[in-house]
This record gives sequence, structure tokens and C-alpha cells, in this order.
Amino acid sequence: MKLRQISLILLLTLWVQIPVSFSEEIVSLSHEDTVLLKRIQKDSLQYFMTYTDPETGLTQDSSRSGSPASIAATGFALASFAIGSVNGLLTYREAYEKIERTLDTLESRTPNEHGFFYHFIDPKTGRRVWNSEISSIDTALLIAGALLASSYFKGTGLETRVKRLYDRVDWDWMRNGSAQICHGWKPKEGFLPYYWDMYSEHLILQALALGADVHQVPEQVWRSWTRESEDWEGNKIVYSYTGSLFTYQYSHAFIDFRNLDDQGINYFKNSAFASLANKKFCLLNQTEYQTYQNGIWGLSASLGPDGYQAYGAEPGLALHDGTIAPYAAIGSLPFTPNESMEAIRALYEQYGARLYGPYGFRDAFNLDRNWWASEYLGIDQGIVVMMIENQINEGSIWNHFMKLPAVNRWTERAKLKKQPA
Amino acid sequence: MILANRRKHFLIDKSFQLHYVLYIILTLAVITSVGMVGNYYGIWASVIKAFSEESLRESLITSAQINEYEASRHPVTGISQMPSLRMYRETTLLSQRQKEMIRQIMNDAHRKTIALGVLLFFFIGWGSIFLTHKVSGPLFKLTQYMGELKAGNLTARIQFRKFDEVQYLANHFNDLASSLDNSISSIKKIVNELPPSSAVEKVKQELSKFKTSGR
Repeated sequence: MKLRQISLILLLTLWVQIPVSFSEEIVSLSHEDTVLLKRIQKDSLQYFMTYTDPETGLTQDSSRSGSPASIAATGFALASFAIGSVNGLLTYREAYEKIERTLDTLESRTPNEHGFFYHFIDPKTGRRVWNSEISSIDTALLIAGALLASSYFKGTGLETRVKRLYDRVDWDWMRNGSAQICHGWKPKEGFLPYYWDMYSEHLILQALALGADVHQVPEQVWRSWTRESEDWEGNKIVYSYTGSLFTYQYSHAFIDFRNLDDQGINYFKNSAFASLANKKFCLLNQTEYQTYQNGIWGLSASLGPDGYQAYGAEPGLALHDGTIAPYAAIGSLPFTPNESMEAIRALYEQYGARLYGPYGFRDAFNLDRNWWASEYLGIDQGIVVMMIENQINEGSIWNHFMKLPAVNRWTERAKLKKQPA
Repeated sequence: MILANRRKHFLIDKSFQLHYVLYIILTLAVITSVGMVGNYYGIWASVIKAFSEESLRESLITSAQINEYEASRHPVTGISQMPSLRMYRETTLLSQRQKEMIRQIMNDAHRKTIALGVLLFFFIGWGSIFLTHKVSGPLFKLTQYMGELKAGNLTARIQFRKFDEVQYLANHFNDLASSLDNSISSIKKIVNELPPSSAVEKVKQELSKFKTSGR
């Protein structure tokens, strides 16, 4: 019997033995783990300190020289500055001024369409870059970041200004008369032919669009997207098209889904199942890809040897070529603390020398192709800062965000049931 | 009359004129150089930067990544077949062609600028000789007439050309010459009427050295 076949049998045995379940108990991290996570959070936040333009407050999409600013990265920067102000990573005044500067630019210098912003803009001028689209999800991430930031500075002028920015967005316009929200719009082409029609990272967009004071979308928009699910090793997972881990994380960075029930679906548990599935998918493919060995997992959209790809695991399209994005396992910390922590430790200890830099983990790596990203991506550093914060400070972001009136309006209009804690 | 008054040689006082031509050309060269350097860094530097290898590379990667981001949100099957960084790497040829074009434009512009510069210096040199000759011409004439005066010709009068500088000097010189002429003529007349004596003869001999309008 060939070695390959023996390994396959061993793997199948392992498959049966790996439990695809997670513990709902509160996992207490060891002191060493907490120290490591705090270090990663602090370093990742430095990305936003370095790559946010001091004049405009717009954050670069990546650390690559000449990179444009991304409004989603800017949203994560706003959230990170607010978090940093309470963690002592920057002073209250510093954080306030940085957020204020960004708001100045967004209010007057950055072009918008019905309140929506272009996905990529020039960090110096705020003008549209290349043929970048007016993006619904990236505007939502920006507004969510701004709302979160303002909730850390209650009673200040920031609250009013962020509210004004939020009210300016015409969420209903982005439906283009359809039942679902469109991905985006371009000046010449008009609305893009893509709509948020199945589960993905758009839950935060839905929450803001349904919970808005003005220009809100009708209630049926929440019910119009399909919840495609698949039984994966005994767990029913409402999955995203790509199976990329970030789709199970972005909305959860802001919204506490732990006690929310949507037509029998708990999206927190769903993300936990998806994270475990992602881990197991890597394990199953470790004979094919060396990168997935030694406890490393985390398939999510990231840079790769062939450019940026929507890597992912099953259920879903599951594109993968041996590229692992460290942010993926970190972003699942609140869902799978033990499994994530194991991966974080493995990544740090085994590959830290090449993968860890002044701004935390670099975007991705692929042992099989001997490819190592030299860049950091803003959105990926952002999810790291936020999910670590939720993990080590007992859901402090969730506590802030869930108190926003918009979130209450969304839960009511979407008819989400609040489960007992 | 005008034709007769026309100068055939513009380089009348070589030392004086070339001295000033040099001053003018040097001043102009300094001003032109500052202007050209300013122009180069003000206009060309931005063009060079925009077409630099680094800038082109950054632009291509940015555009490729935006494309990849969009593609990753709407994947069809397998690893993305949308235009990726690999495809954009193939456009290196395009960037090379762009660089060749900008180099060609710059070389043409530089060649024309140098040619125009040489032509400009030639015209300025010629113009300077023409201009300085308007000053050196009268001075030359004045020196000639002074020589006439020294030789005793009190009938000589200066006539500068219409557009010569220092016209007023001619009037003053002519007034001075007329005054001397009148005075010497009067003295000649008085001496001629005196009874002959050896002293009178001596005076007459001295006065005969002056060419006057009256006898």
C-alpha cells in the first residue's frame, strides 16, 4: 500500500474522530495567551496609526506603497482608535482628534452618491481611484466603525456628526427598486448586477439599512435573502457562497449575535460551526498542502501567490491553494477560542519570524509555493483588533454597539427573537 | 542724407561693446537657467514621476487589486480567472512603451529647447551689439569731433543719427564750438584791423591755426 493511501486512511480515521462542535462555556485564556493576544492587538492597531493619512484621516487599503485608501479600512480604523483610547494604546484626545479628522474629510472632501462612498479613494484627496465602485457593504463597514467610535465618545460632537453621516445614506436607493440591496453602483454603468441575496458579511449592512432613522429599507429586505444551509458533519451551517471565514466574522465584530434568533438560526453558533468546518477542511487537505499542517488553519479572502482571492472552505465554493490568512483564525476567537488560540500560537511560534512584523501578522502565506505576503491589509488588521477586543474584554465592542438605537430598530423590524443569555 | 548718415559697421568700439554684450548675455543666461531649472522641476519632474517605473508599477498593482477585490466578491468557479496581477504583470511591455514615449517626448523637447536657446543667444548677441552701438556710436563720433576741435577746426559740428542716444551732448558740443568759433572769428577780425607790428603778426600767426567761419 502506497504511503499516500495510508495517509488517506489515517486522515479518514481522524475525520471521524474530530468533533465538529464547540463549547458554549466561557473559555478563560491563560495569562500567556492573553499577553500574546494583547501584543497582536497592539501591533495590529499600529497599522492604523501608521497608514492613516494625518491630514485626511483616510486609511490605506494595504501597507503597499501607493495603495489607495479603502473606506472599509477607514471604518476599521475609526473603531480601532476608539478601542485604543480605552485600552491605553492611544490617549482619549489623540483618538478623538483622529476620528474628527476622518469625519471632516468624509463630510466635505470625499465624493458620495446618495450618502454612499466609493470603495477606494485617494488617501490625500479623497477622490475616487480607478474605476472603483460606490460600495454598499464598504460604506456600511465605514458607518458601523464610525457609529461604534462615536459610542465611545458619548455626549461629544462626534455623536451628532456620525449620526448626520449615517442619516445621509439613502439605503433604500441602493435597492434599485428590487427586494434586495445591491452590491454597488458606478457612474457610467449604474447599479452592479449583484445583490446581497444570500448569507455573507452583509448582515451589518442589513442591520444599518433596516435600523436607519431615515431612508430605511422595507422590512421584507431582511427576509428576501436566502439562508442556504448544509449539514456539515452533523451541524447545519447557513453558509456563504465562498465559504470565506471573514463572511462569518465582519458583522459579528460589531453585533452580538449570541442571544439573537433569526427564524431558528443563531448566527453566532453558525459562525462557530463555520470556523470549525474551516479548521477541519484544512486538516482534511493537509496531505495536499503542507501549509495546513501542524495545527494551522484559516481559509479566508486574502492575498495569495496569484493575487487576492476569496479563499474559503466547505460548505461553500471552497477555493484554496494552500494559502492561509492568519487573521481568519484570530477573527474567529469569540466563536472558537480554543481552536483559534491553538492556531494563533502555532502561527506565531512556527512562522512568526517571517510572518509577524511591526503591525502584527502579515496578510497571508503559502508554504507550498514558498510565498509570504509582505503586506498588511487594513480590513484584516481591523478584524484582528476588534475580535481580540471582544474576546479579551468580554465583548466590550458588542456592549457599545448593541446599545445603539439603530440596532434596536433593526432587531425589532427584522423580528429577531432575543434569547435568554 | 539718411543713407549717407547710415553706419556700415555696428561694431564701432569693440572693447566697449563686447564688454556689454558679455554682461547682457551672462545676465540673460542666469535668468534663463533659473527659469529652465524651475520649469524642469515644476513640470517635467511631475511627468517623470508619473511615468516612473515605481509609479507605473504602483498604479498597475492598484488597478489589478481593485479588479481582484471585485472578482473575489463575484467568483464564478475555481481560482479567479479574472484579470489578475499576473495579467497586469504582462503589461510591463505597455509600461515600457509608455516610458519610451515619455523619453522620446522629453528628448524632443530638450533638443528644441537647446536649439531655441542657441538661436536666442545669437539674436540677443546681435541685438546687444545693435543696442550698444547706439551708445558707442555717439561716443565714437564725439571723440572724432574732439580731435577736430583739438586740431583747431572750430567750424566742425556734430550730427548724431536720429535714434542715437545722448543727443543732448551734440547740442552742447555744437554750442561750445559755435561760441569758440564766434570768439576766435571776432578776435581775428580785430587783429586784422590793427596797425602792423611784430606783436600783431605773432598773434595773427597763432590765430591762423584755428579754422573759423569768419576771417
